[in-house]
Amino acid sequence: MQPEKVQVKIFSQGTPDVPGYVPVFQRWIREHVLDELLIDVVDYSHVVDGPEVTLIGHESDYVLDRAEGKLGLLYASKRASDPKNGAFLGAIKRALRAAILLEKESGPTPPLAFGSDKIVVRIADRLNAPNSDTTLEKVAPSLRESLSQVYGATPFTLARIGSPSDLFGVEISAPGAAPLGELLARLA
Amino acid sequence: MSATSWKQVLSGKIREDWAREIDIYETQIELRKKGKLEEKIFAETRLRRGVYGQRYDNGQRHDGENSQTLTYPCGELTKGPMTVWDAPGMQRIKLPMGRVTADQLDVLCDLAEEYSDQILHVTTRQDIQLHFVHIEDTPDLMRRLAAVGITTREACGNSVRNTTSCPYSGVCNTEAFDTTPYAHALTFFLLGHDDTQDFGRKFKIAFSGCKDNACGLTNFHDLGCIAKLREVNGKPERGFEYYVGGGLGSVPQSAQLFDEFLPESELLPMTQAICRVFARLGEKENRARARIKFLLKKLGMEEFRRLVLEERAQLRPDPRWTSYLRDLSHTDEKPLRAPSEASKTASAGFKRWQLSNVQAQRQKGYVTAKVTLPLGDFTPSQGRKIADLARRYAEVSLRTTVEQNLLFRWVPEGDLPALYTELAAMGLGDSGADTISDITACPGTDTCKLGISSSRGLAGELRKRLLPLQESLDPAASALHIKCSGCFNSCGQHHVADLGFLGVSRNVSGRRVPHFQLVVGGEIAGNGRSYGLAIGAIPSKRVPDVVQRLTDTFVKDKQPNESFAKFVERIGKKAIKKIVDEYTQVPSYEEDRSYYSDWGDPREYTIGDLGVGECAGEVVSFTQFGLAASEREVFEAQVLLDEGKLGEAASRAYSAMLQAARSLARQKNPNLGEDPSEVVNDFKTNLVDTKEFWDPFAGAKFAQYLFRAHSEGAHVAHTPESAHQLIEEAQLFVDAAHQAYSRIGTSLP
Repeated sequence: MQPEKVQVKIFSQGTPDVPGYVPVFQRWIREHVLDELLIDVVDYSHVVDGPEVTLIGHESDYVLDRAEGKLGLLYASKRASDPKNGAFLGAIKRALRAAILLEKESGPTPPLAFGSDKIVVRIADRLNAPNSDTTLEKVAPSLRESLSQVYGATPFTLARIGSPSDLFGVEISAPGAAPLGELLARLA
Repeated sequence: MSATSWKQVLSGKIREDWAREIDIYETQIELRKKGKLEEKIFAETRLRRGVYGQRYDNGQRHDGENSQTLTYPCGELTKGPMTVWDAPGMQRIKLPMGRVTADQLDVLCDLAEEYSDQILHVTTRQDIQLHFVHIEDTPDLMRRLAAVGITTREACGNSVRNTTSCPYSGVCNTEAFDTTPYAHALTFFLLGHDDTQDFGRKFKIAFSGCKDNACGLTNFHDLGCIAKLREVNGKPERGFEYYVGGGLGSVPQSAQLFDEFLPESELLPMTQAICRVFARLGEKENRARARIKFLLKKLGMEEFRRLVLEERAQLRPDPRWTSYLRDLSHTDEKPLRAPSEASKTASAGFKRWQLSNVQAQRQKGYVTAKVTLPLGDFTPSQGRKIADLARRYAEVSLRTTVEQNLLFRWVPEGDLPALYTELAAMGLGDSGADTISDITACPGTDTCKLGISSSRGLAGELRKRLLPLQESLDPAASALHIKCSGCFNSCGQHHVADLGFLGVSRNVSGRRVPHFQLVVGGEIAGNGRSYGLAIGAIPSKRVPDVVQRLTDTFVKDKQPNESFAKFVERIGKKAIKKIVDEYTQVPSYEEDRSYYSDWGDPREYTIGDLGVGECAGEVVSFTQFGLAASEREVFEAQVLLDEGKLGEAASRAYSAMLQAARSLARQKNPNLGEDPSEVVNDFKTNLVDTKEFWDPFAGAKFAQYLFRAHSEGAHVAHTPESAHQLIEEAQLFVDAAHQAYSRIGTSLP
C-alpha cells in the first residue's frame, strides 16, 4: 500500500527559539530554498501543544510542531507523493532534508537540533488508512522497506500509536541510528 | 490505495437534499476544470457553499523584497476572477447559534487534520473556519459535515449568513425566554428559500434573550430579534423587539426598530417579507451600497415598513411559519448529570478562572464555563478532548461565542474543579474570559485578502503582554474590551469595543508603515449599543504602549463607577488625542526598521505589489502635507460633533475630504484652484475616472462619499447620526487618499 498524505515527524532536542524560525521560513520562500512551491508562513505560537510555526506549501507543509508537548519538525505531504521514491521514502527524505537545513540556520538562538533515533510516521487519510492494526498490516511492508533504506544495518522497531480516532500513526525507534546527514546521504 | 470514497461510505447517512446539493457542487467543480462553467458563476457557486478565497490566491505574493509569482501546477485555471484554482482557500462552516455537538466537534477536528493546517478557528459570528484548504477537497469535507448535520450552504456569498445568538440562551438568568427554537426555525426556514436567493449582498441575523446585555449584538445586524414578553388578557405572550438595518462595515449603522412587539407567529413570515423587499429593491450594481441598511436609508423606515407589510399581506401561507411553535422544546437540552454544589477548597488558579469564566445558570446547581481560546484558535487534539469533556461533564452540545471562545453549558457546579483541571492540562485553562486580555480579532493580513494590517499579530502581542498582568490589573482596566479589525470591513467588530483598532497603512518617506486607527468609546453592552469614533492612526508597533497609557489614565482619572465610554465622553476626544499623540511618530527607516514590518510578520510591510518610485520624494512632501491637514480636519469634525455643533462638524468633514482630494489632484494639475466644484470635477476626471483613486475591492466607493457630500452642499439639516456618518466617511476617504497616494506616487510627474 502506497498511501497519500504521509506525515513524518523528527523530534527536536533542547529548547530552541521556535518563533525565531518565522523569518527563516520567510527567507526559504523568498530564496526558493526547497524544490517545491512554498506559499506562506503562519505563526500559531499562541496555541498550546500544537503547530507553532508552519511553512505552508502547495505539495506539503513543514511544521514546527509541539503536539503532545513534544517539539519536532513535522513534514506533511498534502498532494500526490513523489512517484520516484514512493510515499514513505519520499516523505522521509523531504523531512530529513528540511531538518538538516533547519539545523544549519544560524539566526535563532538556541537553534534546532534533531535526534535520529525516533520518528513518527502518520497518514492523514481516515478513509483509506484508519488507525487500526489492519492498516498497519497493509502499510508495514512498504514502510519497512523504506526504513531499511534509511537506517541501513541499524535495527528498528515499529509500534502503532494513538487511539482509533487519531490519524493512523506509527512510532519508529532506531536506537543508535546515524546522524540525520548520514541517513539522508543513504537515500541520495 | 482503496477505491472507496467518502461519497460511497456516507451514502444514506446524509439528508437526501444536502447530498444532492454536494453532488451538484462536485459536478460544477468538474465543469469548471473543463472550462464549461464561467468563472464568475463558479465563484458565486462556491461562495454560497462557504468556499472562500484567501490571501495570495491571485498567484502573487510579496516576499518582503519583491512580488513573486506563485507558480501553481494548475496553470491558467481559475476558481473566480483573479483567483488561481490551486491556491489554498478558506472553508467557512456555519454553526447556527454557535451550537456544536461533541460528535460534530470530533468531525471538525478530523477535517482540520486532513484538509487544513491543523487549526480550527472560531469567528466573530460563531462560525468555524478552516484555512489553507484545496478546493478539490471541499466536496468530501462537506459530505463529512453533512453526515453529522452541518451544512456549509450559504456560509458566504449574497445570502443569509450564519444566525448568531446569545450563547446563554435557555440558561440565562435575565432572558425573557429561550430564543433557540425560534432562531433554529428561522435559520432552516430561510436556508435555500426562494426569497433569499436574489440578494445584492449578504444578510445577517442575530437573536438576543435580553435587551441590556451584550451577548446577541443585535444592534449591528441586518435583522435583530430581542425576546420580549407582554401580557394580553392576563396571559403572557411571546414576541420580539424586531430591528432592521444595522451593520458595521466601513460605515457603522445602528439597527432601526421595525416593530416594538412582533408576535412569535409573525417571526418567519415577516422576515420572509423583508427578504422579498430586500431582494426586489436592494442595490444590485454597487456592492458598496447593497446591504439592507442602505435600502432602509433610501426609503426611510415608514416607507420600508409599508412595503414590507404590503408584501406580508401578499405572501402565500406556509405551514412552516407556525408549525414549530407546537413544540418549542425540541431544541431544549437536558443535563447529563445531577446538579451539585461547589467544593469549598480550591486552588488560586481555579478561583481566578471561576471568577471570570464561570456563570451560574438559572437552573440551580448548574453553571456555564467558558473556554478562553487564544485568538479563537484550537488544535484538533484540544477539540477532541473538549468534546470528550462535554460528553462526560455537561450537555453534549457546546456553543461558540462572538468573542471567539467556547462555552460549556449544564456543568454541575461540583464538577467545575475537575473540568478546570482537565482544561488546564490541555493548555486551555486561561482565566480572563471577556476581559481586556480576551481580545477579539478577525484574520487580517494572516489569511484575508482584504486585510491591511495584522489584526491577529497585534491581538497576539497584546494578549501576550496582558495575560501575565491579570492579577495586578485594576478591575476597571481588566473589564475593558479590545477588538481588532484588519481593515475597514470591521470583521473584528472594533466599533463596539472600549479600545478598537482598525488596520490602515501610512506612507512615511516613500515607505509603507502598518498602522491602526484607534477607535474609542464604543459599547458592547446593550447588544452593541454604541459605536466609537476614530482618534487617529498609530503605528502598529506603538499600539501596545497606547493601550497601556490609556488604561493607566483611565484607572487614574475615572470617576466612581464610570465606564470607559463615559470617561471618553467626559474628558473628550481632544484629551485622548493629546495622550496618544506622542505615539504617532514614526522614526526613519534607517533609524528603526521594526516600524516597517507588522506584528508576527518580519517581512517588510506592503499591502500590494506596487512600490514607491524614487521621484516620489518631492511629491510626497506636498501630498503628505495635504493629507495630514485633512486628517486634522476629520478630528476637528469629531470634536465639533461632541460639542453638538452638527452643521459645523459636517462641514468640517466635507472640508477634510475636499482637502485630501485637492492635495492628490493638484499633483496632476498644478493650476488647480480652491473652488470646491472645480476641485471635485478635476478630482473626478483625473483620478476617479482614470481609476487611480480606486479601491481594488470597493471600486469608487470612497470617492462617492465626497461626491455625495459635495452635491448635498450646506442645505442638509444634519442629525447626530448623519453627522457621525459623514465623519466616518471622511475618515475612510482620507485613508483611501493615503492608499491612492501610495499607488500613484510613482506615476506622478
